[in-house]
Amino acid sequence: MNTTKPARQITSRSLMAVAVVLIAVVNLLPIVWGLLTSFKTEQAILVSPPQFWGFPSTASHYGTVLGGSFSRGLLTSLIYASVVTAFGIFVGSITAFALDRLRFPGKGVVFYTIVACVPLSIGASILAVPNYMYFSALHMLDKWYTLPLIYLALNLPLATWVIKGSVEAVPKELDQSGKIDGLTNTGVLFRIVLPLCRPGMFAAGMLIFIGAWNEFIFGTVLVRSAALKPIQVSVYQYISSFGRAWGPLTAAAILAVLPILVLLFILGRHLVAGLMRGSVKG
Amino acid sequence: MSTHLRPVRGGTAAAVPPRTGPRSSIDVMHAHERRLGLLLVAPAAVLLLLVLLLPTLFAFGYSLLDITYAKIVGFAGLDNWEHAVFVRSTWTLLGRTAVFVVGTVVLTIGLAFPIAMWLDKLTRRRALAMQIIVILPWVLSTVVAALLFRWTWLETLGIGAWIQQSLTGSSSSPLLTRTGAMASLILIYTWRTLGFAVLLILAGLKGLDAELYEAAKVDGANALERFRYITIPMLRTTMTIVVIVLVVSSFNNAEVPYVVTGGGPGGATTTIALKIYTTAFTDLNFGSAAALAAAAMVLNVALVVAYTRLSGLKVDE
Repeated sequence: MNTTKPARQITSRSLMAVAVVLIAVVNLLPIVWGLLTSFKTEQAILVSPPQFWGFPSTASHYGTVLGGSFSRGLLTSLIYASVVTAFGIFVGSITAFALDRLRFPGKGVVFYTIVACVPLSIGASILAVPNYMYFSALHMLDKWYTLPLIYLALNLPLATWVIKGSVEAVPKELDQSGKIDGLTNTGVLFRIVLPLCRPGMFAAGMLIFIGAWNEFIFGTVLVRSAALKPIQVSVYQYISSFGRAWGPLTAAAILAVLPILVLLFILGRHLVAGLMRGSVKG
Repeated sequence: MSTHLRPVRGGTAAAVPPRTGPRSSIDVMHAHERRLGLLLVAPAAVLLLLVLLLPTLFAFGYSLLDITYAKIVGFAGLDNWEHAVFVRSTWTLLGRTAVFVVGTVVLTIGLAFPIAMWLDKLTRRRALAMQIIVILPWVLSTVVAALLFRWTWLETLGIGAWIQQSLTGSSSSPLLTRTGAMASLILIYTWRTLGFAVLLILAGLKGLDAELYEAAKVDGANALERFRYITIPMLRTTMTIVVIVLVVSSFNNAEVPYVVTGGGPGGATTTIALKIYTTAFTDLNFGSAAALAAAAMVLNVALVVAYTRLSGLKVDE
């Protein structure tokens, strides 16, 4: 046993290195390759075998993309995602607090509704047809609030669930001592519990932002005005209108993914922790 | 964990002590709490009702109506079902969807499980870095992920074709053949969801009691036996929940086939979710789309109920 141990360690170490490299390459390469392509000249893109360095570079594809209607989609989605994230964190937090700390009639129904809505919202693209028809009957199609409303509801179940994990972790003794000091339940919520739930709120906020930023199916049908179309629809329209012009296409893809990547590198820790704490329970 | 239990009986009158004599300050406090609780959950309840629950119910109602250009013009009985659901082509559609769902779920679980086991053994700092790399494709949108994946692995100027060229001396375009297109969809979809599944399974692994493993070690169980007799049975609920989430999300996914292949070549990648979407928004046949959506909803509701019950079981622990 003792003699084989170092050998086994070496194999397991090299296996581990192979696993790290493999996962990193598979997950990062498409983004890196897209980024490189977006800076290549038209001729350099057509060169085979693929070049990773030393190619003639240009920023003109970004000029092409941002000069068109694309920047409007970028701005629209930035507004959608920010507003939905702000509302989502707020609504998710108060719901999570009520479900964990308060007693009120109908609590069980609300609780199980939110649990059931987690998978329901994941499969929501199938709801686009009934949603379209009944939003149309209510004259709620193609309004400035149409997509934010949908995005808020689609991301709320998981966000509430993730924040609830944080609320549970705040000791109830703190509520008690707050109440002895004269705080009402509302005071406990805003002065004690929520300030301590910041990691959960960050994670939930990121989930909501990503969800609102990335949604595509509802964005293609529920709004018609160009000013209301989200970024993913702009990228898709780019694919159909540019076809094989991979320079502008990859530039558009990189622009559309940049906010999410920035968020991931700043708040990725919270996202990962929040997903792991929140999701599996529900 | 035990705090989850309370909601189930939270709303009952038993929580409030029977009133004796004049209204006590405790009663006032409870009344306040009840009002605040209702007020706080109201926005979420209204939103979910409006966007998720009512459409789920309405899908069934709409399927029985005669609908022209998204406007209801009369009652159709089961006409929509007869035209769209109870037809031969539904079997083909179901078969294709099954290939996509089973392919993605099996591949995702098969890869996610070993990766999660491995991440579970890493030190905190390394595990965090790997977790962020693992989750990366999941935060990309389907449109962007499909675009970048296709450019890197599937196009003739991409890296995939170059590797294939240097290994076999020839390269092909997988999106042009029926099997190749379906395989590409499964790969792109799995690439995007894998990280999410890894994190869910990892969370389940972290929740396992380390003492159990210690006890088994003391009793002389080797690594394989510990895996077989502790990890697998203890993770059963987690794995079932993960599988349900994966099935729901791939069964309902219209985006991937819509963006990558548009359902082609020759309809080879048209799944039920995409068919519902194109029937409504390309063919403008809302009645048939509603019937198909309602039929698909039956499976979804079953999965959602199973999910809720399993989550409930976890609550009871």
